[in-house]
Amino acid sequence: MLKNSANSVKMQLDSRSVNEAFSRAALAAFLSPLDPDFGEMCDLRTAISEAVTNCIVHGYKGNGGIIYINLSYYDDRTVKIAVRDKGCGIEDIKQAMQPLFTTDRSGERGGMGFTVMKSFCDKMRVKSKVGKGTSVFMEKKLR
Amino acid sequence: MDKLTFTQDICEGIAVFHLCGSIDHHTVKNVREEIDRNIYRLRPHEVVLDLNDVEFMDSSGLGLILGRYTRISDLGGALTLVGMSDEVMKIIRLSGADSFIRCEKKSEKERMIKNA
Repeated sequence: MLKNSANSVKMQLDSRSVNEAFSRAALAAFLSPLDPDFGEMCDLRTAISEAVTNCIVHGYKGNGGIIYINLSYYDDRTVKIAVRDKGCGIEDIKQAMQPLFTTDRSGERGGMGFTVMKSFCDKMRVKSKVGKGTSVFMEKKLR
Repeated sequence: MDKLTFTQDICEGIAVFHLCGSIDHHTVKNVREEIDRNIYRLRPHEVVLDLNDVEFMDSSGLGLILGRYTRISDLGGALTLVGMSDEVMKIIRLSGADSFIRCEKKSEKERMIKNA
């Protein structure tokens, strides 16, 4: 249990794209006691969807793996979302976080995942080590 | 709804794809190829993506839009987006795609086609 959190949940998901929707639904269910407004809920659902997608597409490169998600909220209505993978890690985090930057060569990835997470949350931080994995920490205070 | 489906209309060289559901990395995969098959078969001078019934879109949807923009541009055509919710438009604006892809109000393009 996280220190001082009003509530917390830990999940482990298979790195499967079908679980992107599950992560959004799980977050929505977890936050429902806080009754977030529509915009806030959309922002956070999008943010977690981006983070989970990054694990699947980039962390594990479409191969198997486990995605670790920690959700928590506090009495002041701060929501914290942590999404972690034990995949390939990011060589240059600063570069990866540039809007429209993507290592995908198919032309079908927008390269906006980190930008969306950063824009839709109050705080966003990325920790990564090549060969070890990546953790994304997001925080948003609800109205 | 966590699935993504689409229907299409073609009228006077304008192909309208009505997307319905959630656009994420998982759902975009099948739809993308099918839309492309239709674009190459129909060779429209304009493709309209009607997002009126899209209830969720993350940046994978941007990839879908930008990829279709590239496809139709290669064929000398144009792409228009219609029916975006405020949330979907937020992501489009973040990317700056609205500076080079026409974004129109809800169903305006479809009304134009129906009146043609």
